Amino acid sequence: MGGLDCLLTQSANHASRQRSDKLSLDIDIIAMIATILKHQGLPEQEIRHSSTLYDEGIGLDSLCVAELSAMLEKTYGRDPYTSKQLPMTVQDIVDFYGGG
Amino acid sequence: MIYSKLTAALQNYPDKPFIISPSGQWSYADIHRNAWSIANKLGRINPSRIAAYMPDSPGLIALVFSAAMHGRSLALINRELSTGQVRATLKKLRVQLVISDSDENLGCEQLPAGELAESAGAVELAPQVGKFAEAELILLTSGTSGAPKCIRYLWSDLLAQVVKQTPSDDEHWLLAYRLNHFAGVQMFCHVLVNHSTLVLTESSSVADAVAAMVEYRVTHVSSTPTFWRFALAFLVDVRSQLQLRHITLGSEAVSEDLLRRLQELFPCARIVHIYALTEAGSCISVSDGKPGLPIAVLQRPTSAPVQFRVKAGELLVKTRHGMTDYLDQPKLQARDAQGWLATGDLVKIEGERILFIGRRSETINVGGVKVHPLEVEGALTSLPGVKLVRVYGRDNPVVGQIVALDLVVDEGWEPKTVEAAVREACLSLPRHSRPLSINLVNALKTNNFKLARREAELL
Repeated sequence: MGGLDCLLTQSANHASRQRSDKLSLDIDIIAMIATILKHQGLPEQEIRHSSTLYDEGIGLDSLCVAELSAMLEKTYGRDPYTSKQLPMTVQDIVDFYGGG
Repeated sequence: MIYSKLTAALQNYPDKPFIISPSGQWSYADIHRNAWSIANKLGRINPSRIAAYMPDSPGLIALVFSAAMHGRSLALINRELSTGQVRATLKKLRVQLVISDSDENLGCEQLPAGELAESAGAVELAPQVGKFAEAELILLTSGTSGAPKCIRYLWSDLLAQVVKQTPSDDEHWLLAYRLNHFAGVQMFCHVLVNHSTLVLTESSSVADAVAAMVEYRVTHVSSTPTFWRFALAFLVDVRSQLQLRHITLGSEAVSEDLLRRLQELFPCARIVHIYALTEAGSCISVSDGKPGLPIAVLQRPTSAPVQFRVKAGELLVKTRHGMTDYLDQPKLQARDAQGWLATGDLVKIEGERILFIGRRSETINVGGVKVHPLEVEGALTSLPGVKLVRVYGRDNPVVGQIVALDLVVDEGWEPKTVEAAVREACLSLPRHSRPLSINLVNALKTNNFKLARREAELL
């Protein structure tokens, strides 16, 4: 394989890994929110990237968000709420961790 | 005062074992002889305030009497402190001589603890017994919910709290607290006044304590609920070899579940839980098998030696024989003008019972709602597979604090199964009280067998 081909292959692998990491991050965060709903005794619901976290969306209240903050911090070492950010959607959380 | 109790025991039971430890056995006469010998040595050095930073041992007990014979203040320094903390404490207390097993420089004149033993038997001069009406004992509070304070007691006040009982020849008390802890001093005083035997352990581990119960035919044990929860696993295996007749629980709130488990394991033992505070002394012992205090204690007359009151959800006590003062903070008043001491223990009244719900300083503020750790722990400790739990507040950017839970799982249980059961049980709690962070841990940090609860201690 020539130099250019090798570079293209490495680049494709890198992009594939990034897509895979992003997918994994998306899945993990959606699973986390589903777990919190269960912990809080709230009904199950479909959660998408575009889902709004509060009110008319998933409907997380302050206790749910407090748990989400603690869980994100425990899993990833930091979380948007401690960093004084207020993510509005699941995608905003994914973006906070550079998954956008 | 304390020395006169030793001479009283000496007159009646000179050869009776006073101290039993892994290194040997000492009669009342042996300790008396050693105390005189050490007192001679102290007389030559002549310090006004002495400290001991050494393990619980017959030498330390002889030193307690020796210092009192000279009317000297004796400070018992916590073994858990670092060298730097010991140095700072000795300086704060203006100690002139420390008897220690440490090779480190502690910042004042030091006498190696080993030399106490060497001096035993070499009686030269009579110490100044009787010249001093009172001697003081200085202790540090446990600091489980705040910075430790230095408290000053007169021996006469400590001894006045002891209930004199009919001496029993084979009453062996296990020293399950350290002597530098108020509860350990109370036990020492109880044994001395009642001419019983005190059993010292090899170390402060629960396994060694249980081994000592078996080896030295221990009949009476007093310790914390946390100690008993740890000990239950060991006690089941050696139950047939034990001669326990009396179990006391103190220093922490007691749950009904623990009282029941101990009663099932030792159906013939008298089980008592006591309420005592380092500042106030021993307040009450309860033996009806129920947690908390009977509400009738609130009706005690003003002539009673210990009175109770509940004010704004906090238990207040008024005792006759509490501490003298905080030595390091003389302006800090523990009691109000009428002598009432705010205990810091929050309570609720349910039926005929005053139940403890937690320390004021440990209250968790979840979005403006107050959560008491003991109420959460109480819902979880009796679940199958749960060995120990600790509930505490953790800072959270959304609601200020959340309820966090450290969970120790019993041997043979799948941690995830127990965690799921804990989460299920938490659904019965109000939402603000449910732990939002559950951590599976192998052990919980303790301080003198009390669960450490300050967040700084947990890190």
